[in-house]
Amino acid sequence: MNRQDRSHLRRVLQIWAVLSVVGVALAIVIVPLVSPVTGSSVEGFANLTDLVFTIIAVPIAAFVWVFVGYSLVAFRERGAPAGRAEDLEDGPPLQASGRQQVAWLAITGALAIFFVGWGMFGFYKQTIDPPADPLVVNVTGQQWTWTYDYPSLGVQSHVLELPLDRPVSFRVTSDDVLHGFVINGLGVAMDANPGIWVTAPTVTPTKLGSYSARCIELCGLYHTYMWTPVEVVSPSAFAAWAKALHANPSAAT
Amino acid sequence: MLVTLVGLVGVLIGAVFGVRVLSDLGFEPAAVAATSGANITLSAFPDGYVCHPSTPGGGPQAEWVSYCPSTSIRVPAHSTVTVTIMQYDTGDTLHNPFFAQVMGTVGGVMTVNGRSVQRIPADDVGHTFTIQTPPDENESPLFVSVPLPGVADNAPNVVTIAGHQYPKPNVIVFRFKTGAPGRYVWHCYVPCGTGLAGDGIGGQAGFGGPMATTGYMAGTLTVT
Repeated sequence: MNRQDRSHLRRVLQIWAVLSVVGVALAIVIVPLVSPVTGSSVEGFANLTDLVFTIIAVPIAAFVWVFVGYSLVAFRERGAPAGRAEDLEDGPPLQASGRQQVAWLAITGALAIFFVGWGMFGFYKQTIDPPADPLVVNVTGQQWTWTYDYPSLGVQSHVLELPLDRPVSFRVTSDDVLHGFVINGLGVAMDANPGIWVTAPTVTPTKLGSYSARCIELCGLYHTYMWTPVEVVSPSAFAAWAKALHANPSAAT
Repeated sequence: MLVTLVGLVGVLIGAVFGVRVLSDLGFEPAAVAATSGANITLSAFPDGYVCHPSTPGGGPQAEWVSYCPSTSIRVPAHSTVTVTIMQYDTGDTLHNPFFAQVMGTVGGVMTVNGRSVQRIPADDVGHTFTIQTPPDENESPLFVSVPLPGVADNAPNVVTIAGHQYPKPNVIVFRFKTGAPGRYVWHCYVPCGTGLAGDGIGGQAGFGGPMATTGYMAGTLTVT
């Protein structure tokens, strides 16, 4: 590496460092603003995952973009090329050193191991101490809505009603094609596969309010309309709702 | 130059094909609007001969099950709408028995040939007429679902409509209340359509063709 190359490299690293610091600062400010409300025992970890992964991704993305952008500007062909375009020659080939290759493998390998470990830690946290008696909700996806069956209560509904602070275990399936069951704000995201029941770790709603369940798997004509309301209510209100629905199934709207 | 020309022709062919595909997503006849008193009358046919007669060069499918006279429905806001559906098709078993229940109607009931019911057997449902709310219409949520009992498989064809023979229909009547103006979608939840690519996944089929095309088993409800 000659003196001029070292100058380019120093400049690139300086730009990268500045952009990384600015990007990480922006991520710390912006990501929490655009994250869903934390409405369950799971969603907080999901939002934290978004923040941490974004913070890690910013310097990596900046590293690539700065090198590409700087190269386009600094090493572009200036002026009209002499002769025919076919006669232009490429620059000298780059040969990475052994240290660079080891560093590249070490950094990317460490990142991959960190991401896997993070996911396993999150899954471990959700499954290490499962509640003994969760409320089981059977969720069926069908073009183009979700329906909810509460086997312990003997009721079915088009609206997903959940009691506050009670663990819920979702069992999800599909009657036709692949769907994706997601509740924004509660950290629920599960595949709905035809003929198969999928069960995820239990989720405990921790905040009263209205949420929505949607399909995130493109499933047909009315995919964008495939949603249902989700209401997290007090335990007494939930009991009253279930009792009323049991007495009058036609009110399942 | 030649490569550029071939590329442009390719893009043009792709655009024409794309427009053609989009146009085939729906064949909705002119909207049917509620008459005075907010009454709507629809028919559910085992084919599309009445509303979708075959046309040269393809297009609407005359063999597909269909709602008539249109799947584009307009009803007044803040009203009680009375819907009468003449069900000419036979029944089958629901994949999801939830839809055998009458939901969202006035009193939670409908009448079938004059008899008031809240639910019908899940193994004899010809179609459902189910209205639901798009995500952006939260101010006036609407969910109405009515199962249509099928006519007997061996019922004789005694009715002639547009030159085609059908059995005596089941007459289903129900009422529902509308809120503020808005746009909703409705469709059938009985897999009464044609197969899909990948038939056999979970043993389910019948969600293609008329079930995936507006103008047959799916449409819009506009509250004005």
